[in-house]
Amino acid sequence: MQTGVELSLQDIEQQVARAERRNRLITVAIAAAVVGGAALFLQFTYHKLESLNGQLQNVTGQLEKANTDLNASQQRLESVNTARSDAEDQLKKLQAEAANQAGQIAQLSAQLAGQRQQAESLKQDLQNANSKLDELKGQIKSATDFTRYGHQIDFADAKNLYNTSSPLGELLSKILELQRRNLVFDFANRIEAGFTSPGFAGYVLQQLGKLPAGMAPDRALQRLPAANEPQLGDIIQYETGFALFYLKDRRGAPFVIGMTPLGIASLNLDFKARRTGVLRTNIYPDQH
Amino acid sequence: MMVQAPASPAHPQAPDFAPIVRAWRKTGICYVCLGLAILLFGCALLLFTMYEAKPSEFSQITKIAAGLVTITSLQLFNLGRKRFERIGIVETLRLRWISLASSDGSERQIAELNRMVTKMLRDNLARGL
Repeated sequence: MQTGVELSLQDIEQQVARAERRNRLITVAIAAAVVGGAALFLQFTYHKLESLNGQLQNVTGQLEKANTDLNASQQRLESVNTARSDAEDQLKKLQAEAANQAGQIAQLSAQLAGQRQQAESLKQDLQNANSKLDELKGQIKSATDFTRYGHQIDFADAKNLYNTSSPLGELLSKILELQRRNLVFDFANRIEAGFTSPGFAGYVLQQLGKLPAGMAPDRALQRLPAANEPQLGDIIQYETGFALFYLKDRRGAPFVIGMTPLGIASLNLDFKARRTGVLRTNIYPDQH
Repeated sequence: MMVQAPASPAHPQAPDFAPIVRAWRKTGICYVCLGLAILLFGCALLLFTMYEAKPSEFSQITKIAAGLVTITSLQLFNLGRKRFERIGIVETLRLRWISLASSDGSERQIAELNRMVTKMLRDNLARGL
């Protein structure tokens, strides 16, 4: 633009036209740049979003897969927890059962110990019974042996003893009466069942009032005092367990009478058995 | 700068601004058309985002871009409006010139009018837009 000089209208027109052309070009260029920039920006953004969307879908897929795995793991964990709780319950039951069985075992052990003790006791009883059986066998053997040492007596001898001493006569009469009733040998020591040899002697003395009634006759016999030599009516004890009354028949021959395994029997004084003691009955205290 | 009008001692002839007015009108029309095109482009983008079947992040970005483009079109409309405004002013000055010349106005008034026209054209050239 010319300054300081006068411009013609034609010059101004040319300058204005030139300036307008330039302005139009610049404006169109700016507008195109703005629109193109917006389009490029949108395209870039679109592609970027597409890419991010793809990544997001990928991540979402991975996340869904992880969620699926997590759900499966949780289900497995729940099943494992359920199985664990079941196993714990079963373990508790088994422990309770084991404790119960341990108690039963202890109880059974105690019972076993008791039964062992009982078995020991039974064994001891068996040994005792065997020893008694042996003793009885010995007595039976002795009885079979002493049958040849039998001494015949009857009520006439008892009558003769009455003449000597009424208590002795009553003693023999009582024994003969019991013999007539077929009293048998038995360990029961009762009149309806039978007596052992000491039991029979005790029973006869209880009947005669020489020993207190109300206690076992064989035990009552142990109350009698011991003596060295027998008197009439005393009891002689033998190693076979016999406890026999010492008496004399009408001919003055001594004999012994009492319960044997064969029943009530009267034997010679010297029958095959060793004396072990004498019990003083004091039925005939006036002999000397 | 002085506008040198064809002089006549009795009746000075009014200056003819038709080429300048043509240039401004052409530029104004160009700006308005360009603004309309950009406005349509922005509206198309807005409609695209509004009626999109599946709204997404791209829709938001597109809305922002459409807004920027629409604002750009407003600036073009403003530039076009200035061009047509200048055309109106120039026409008014020319009519004034003719009025003064026909009514035998004083030399001082014509000189003042001449100075105003010169100033406007100088400012227009100086701003460049």
